Amino acid sequence: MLNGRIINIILILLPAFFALLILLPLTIGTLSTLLLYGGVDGIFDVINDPYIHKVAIFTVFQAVLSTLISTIFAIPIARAFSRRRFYGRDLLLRIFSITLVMPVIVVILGIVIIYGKSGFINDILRYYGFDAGHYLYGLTGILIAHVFFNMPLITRSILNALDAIPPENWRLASQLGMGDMDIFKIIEWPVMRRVLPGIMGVVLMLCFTSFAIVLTLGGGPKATTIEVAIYQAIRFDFDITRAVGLCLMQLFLCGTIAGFLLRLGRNHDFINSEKKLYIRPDIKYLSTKITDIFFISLAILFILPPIITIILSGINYDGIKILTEKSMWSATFYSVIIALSSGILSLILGIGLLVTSRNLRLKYYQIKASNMLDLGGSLILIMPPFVMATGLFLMFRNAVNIFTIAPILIILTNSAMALPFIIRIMGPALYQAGDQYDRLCQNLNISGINKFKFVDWPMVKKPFSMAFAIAVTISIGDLGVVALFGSQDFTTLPLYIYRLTSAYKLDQAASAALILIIICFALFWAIEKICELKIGNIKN
Amino acid sequence: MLEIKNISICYGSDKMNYNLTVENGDCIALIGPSGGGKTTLLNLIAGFLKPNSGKIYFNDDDLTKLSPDKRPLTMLFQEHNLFPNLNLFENIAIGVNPSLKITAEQRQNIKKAINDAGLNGKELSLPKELSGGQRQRVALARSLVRERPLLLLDEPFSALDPGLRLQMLELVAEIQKNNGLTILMVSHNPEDAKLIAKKIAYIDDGEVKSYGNPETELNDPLLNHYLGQL
Amino acid sequence: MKSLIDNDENIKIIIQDPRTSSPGLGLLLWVKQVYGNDAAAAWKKLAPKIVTVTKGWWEGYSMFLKGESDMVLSYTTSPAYHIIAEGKQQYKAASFDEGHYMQIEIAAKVATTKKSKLADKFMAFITSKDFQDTIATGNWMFPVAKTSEPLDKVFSQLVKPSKTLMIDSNIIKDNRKKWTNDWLNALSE
Repeated sequence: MLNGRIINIILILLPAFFALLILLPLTIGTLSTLLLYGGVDGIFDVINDPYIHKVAIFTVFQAVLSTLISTIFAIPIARAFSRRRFYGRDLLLRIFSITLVMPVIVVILGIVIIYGKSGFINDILRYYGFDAGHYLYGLTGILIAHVFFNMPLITRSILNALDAIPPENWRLASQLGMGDMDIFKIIEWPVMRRVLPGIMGVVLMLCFTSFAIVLTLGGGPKATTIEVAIYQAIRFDFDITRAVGLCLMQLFLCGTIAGFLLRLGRNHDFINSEKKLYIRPDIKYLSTKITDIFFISLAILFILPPIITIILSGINYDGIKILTEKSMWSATFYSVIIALSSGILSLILGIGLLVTSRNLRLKYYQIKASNMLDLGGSLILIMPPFVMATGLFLMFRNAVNIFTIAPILIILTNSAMALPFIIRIMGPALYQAGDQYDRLCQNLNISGINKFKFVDWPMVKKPFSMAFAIAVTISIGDLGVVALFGSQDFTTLPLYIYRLTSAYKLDQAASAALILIIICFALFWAIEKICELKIGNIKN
Repeated sequence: MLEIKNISICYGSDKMNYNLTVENGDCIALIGPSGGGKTTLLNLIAGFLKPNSGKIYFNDDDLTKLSPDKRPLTMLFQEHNLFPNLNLFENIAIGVNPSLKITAEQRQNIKKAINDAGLNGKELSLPKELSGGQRQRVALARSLVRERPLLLLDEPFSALDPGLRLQMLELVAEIQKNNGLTILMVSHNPEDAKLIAKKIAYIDDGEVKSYGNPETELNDPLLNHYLGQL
Repeated sequence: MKSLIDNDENIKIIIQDPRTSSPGLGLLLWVKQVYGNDAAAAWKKLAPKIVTVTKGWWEGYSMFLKGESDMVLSYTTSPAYHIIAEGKQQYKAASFDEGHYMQIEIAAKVATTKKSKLADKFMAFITSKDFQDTIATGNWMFPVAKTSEPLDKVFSQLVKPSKTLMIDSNIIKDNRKKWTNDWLNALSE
C-alpha cells in the first residue's frame, strides 16, 4: 500500500530527524550567529593584529610538534609491546586506552606536581647538580601534557595494526631469517603507514583545539592558542568582535586540516576482532631486547607517575578539609548531573543518527545518504567546543541571563563533543546487528520491542555501555566550556580543581582530583553493571 | 633421511608424542581428524614450536636445537605465504636473502623459477593482484630457489577450486621428481594423499597411529571412522 | 625598575595578567610611566625572567610562596602579613628608585540598584573608622581614612616609595587596549 510505504519511510527517518533537530542549530545555527554578529569586523580585527598572527602560528606549531613527538615515541613503544608479553602488559594497555578520556585537569595537576619547579624531577636533578629551571610553564609543559594524552592513543592504534598481521607472515619471517630492520621495512612499516596518517590527523586536531592544557601550563602570552585566546577575549575583555574573529579563524584552520585528512582516505581502523597469539622471531635478538626494555620503561615512567601521584597526593591532611566545603559538594553534584545528562543526550543523538543510517543502508540501499549521516556526526570535530559555546552565548545572551542557562549550554556542547566517539564505537556494532539478523527477524516476524529485547540489545550492549561511559567521562572531566560560563554559584568539579591548582593549593587540588577520579570509576562501573542486565527472558 | 624420535610436547592438557621416519626423496602425506596434531608435527619439524623432549635428525644432523631459519627446509601455509607489500619477484627473492640483497646469479635463478611456474610477465604484481592459485605457485617457486632439501606443506591447496587443486598437486609431484625433494604434506583429503604420496601417516590424539603405503593405509580399519567407511 | 629589567642576573619573577588583575594592570602602567615609548622594548627585556603570568594576584603569590620564583608582583604591605600573622621575617618588598605605582582598592555602587539608600549607607560605612580599623591587619593594605589608633609599628618599617606613580584615569581609559596589545605583542616574541 502506498500509504504504508510512506509511513515506513517516515518512521525510519524520524530518529535522525530528531537528532538533527538538535544538531543543526548547534552547528549551523551557531556558525550563522557568529557570522551575523560581526563576521566581517571580527575577521578584519583578527587579520590585522600581529599578536593574533603569533597566536595562530604558535597554535599550529605546538600541535604539529606534539603530534610528531607523540608519534616518534609511539612507534618503538608499539613495536616493543608487539614483541613482548610480560606481567602487567594488559593492564598497561588498558591504561593507555583511557588516558585520552581522563579528566584533563587531574592529569595537569599530576604533571605540575611531578615536573614543577618544586616537583620530583627537579628534586632529582638538583640532587645531581642540575638546575633545569622553570621548564614546565610554556611550550615544554604543553608538549609534556599533549604527549601524555596522545602518545598512548597512537601506540594502541599502531599495536592494533601490528596485531592484525597474519601469524603466517611472522612464521615466514622466522623461517627466512629476517633481521630486525628487515622486519620493520617489509612487515611492520607498510602496515603502520596505513594507520598513521589517520590517527596522526586526529591527534593533530585534538592538540590544535586543546584548551585546558594551554590555559594552565601555557604561562603567558607567548604560549597561547586560538582556543585560549577566544576564552580570554570573552572572559577578560568581553570583546565579542575579536572573539567572533578568532572563532572564524579557528573554524577555517580546523576545516582545512580536516579537509586534508579526508583526502588521505578513510581511517583504516583495525577493530580488535580476534587476537591470535603470534610469536615474532625478532624477540631473540639482543638489540631488540635492549630497545624494548628501554622503550617500555620509558612509557611506564612517563605515563604512570602523574596518575599514581594524584592518587597518592589526594590522600593528605590538608586535602581532607575539602570534604567539609559545601562548594566542593555542590561542584560534585553539578558535575555528575551534567555528565549523566550529556551522556544521555549524546547517546540519543548518536543512536538517532545511527539507526536511521543503518536502516537507510540495509533496507533501502541508500549508501550515500547513510554515509552522509555517519560523516555528519563526526563533523562536529571541526567545530571546537569554544566556537560552539561562543555562538550559543551570542544566540542566548539577549534572551536569558547567560549564567542561569550555563548548565544547559555545557550539556549541549559536551554531548556534541562526545558524538564522534559514540558513532565510532556504536556504529559498527549496530550495523552488524542489523546486517546479520534483520532478514531472519523479518522471516520469524520478530519486530519492535521484541527485536530490541532479544536481538539488538544483547549484541549492542557492550559498545553501548562503553560509549555511554566514555561520553559521561568526557563530560565530567571537561574543563572548557565551563571555564567560560562558570561563576561563583555554578562550578563543576574540574573547574573547582583548576581554581585550586592555579592558587597553588596543590594539596587540596589533589584531594579534589582524587574525588573526581573515584567518581569517574564509580560511574564507569555502575554503567557497565546496569548495561549487563539481561532484558529479554523467557516467560513461562 | 628425516628421523623424528620421540618428539613430545604438551598443549595444555593434551600430550603429543611423535615417531616417524621419512626416506630422502619420498613424499608422505599426513592425514587425520581436525585437532589431531598434524599441523603441530609440522610446526615442530619447522622449529616454530619447541618440544619438551626428543630429537629430530635430518641426514644425521641434529636439528632439534636449531632456529627455524637454520633448518634445511621450507614450509608453505594454507594462505598468507606472501608479504602483501612486496611484488612477485621480491616475494621470491626474499627467500634467497631476507634483506633482498641478491647477486646477479641469484637473480637469474629467480627468473628461471618464475618461468617454470608459468608466471612470466607478472614479476611486478602485488599479491592482491594475483589469484589464489598464482599466489601458491609463487610460494612454491620461492621454496625452490631456496634449494632446501625438505619441503613442508600445511594444507596449501585446500582453499582452491577442485580443478586447480589437482593441477597444483601435479605440480608438486613434478617438482619433487625434478629436484629430489623430501616432502611432508598435511592434507584434509585422502584422495590427495593417494595421488602423490608414497606413504601415508595417520595422525590422531597427538600420535602417529599408523604409517604405510596408500593402499594398506586407506584400508586400515583404524581409519574407518575418519574416512567415513563402514 | 631599570636595574631589574636591565641586569643580567637570572632573577625569576611571577607577574599577573593586566587583563584580569589590577596589580597586573598596575605593573603595565608602571612600566609605561617609567619607560614611556620604550615600554615595549623594556617588556621584551623582562620577558625571559618571567616564569609565568597568572590570572590573579592570589595564584601568583601562592606559587611564589611555594618557591616557584624569586620575586612576585605584589604590594609593599605584603611583608606585613608574614611578619605580624606568621612571625616570618624573610619576605621583603623591593624598593624601586623611579617610584612605585599606586594601587587603590575601590568599591562602587551600581547605578541601577533598587536599594539605593542602603547602598549609600554602606558606602559611608566603608570610609568610617569602624571599617578602616580592620583594613590594615585584615586586608593587609593601608587605610584610606582615619583609624581609631595608630597602625602597628611594622607598617612604618615597610618600603616607602620615593615617588608615587599614577596615570590619569581618562588617559588610561583611552589607551588601555592599545597598551595591553603592545604588552601582548612584546611578550609573545
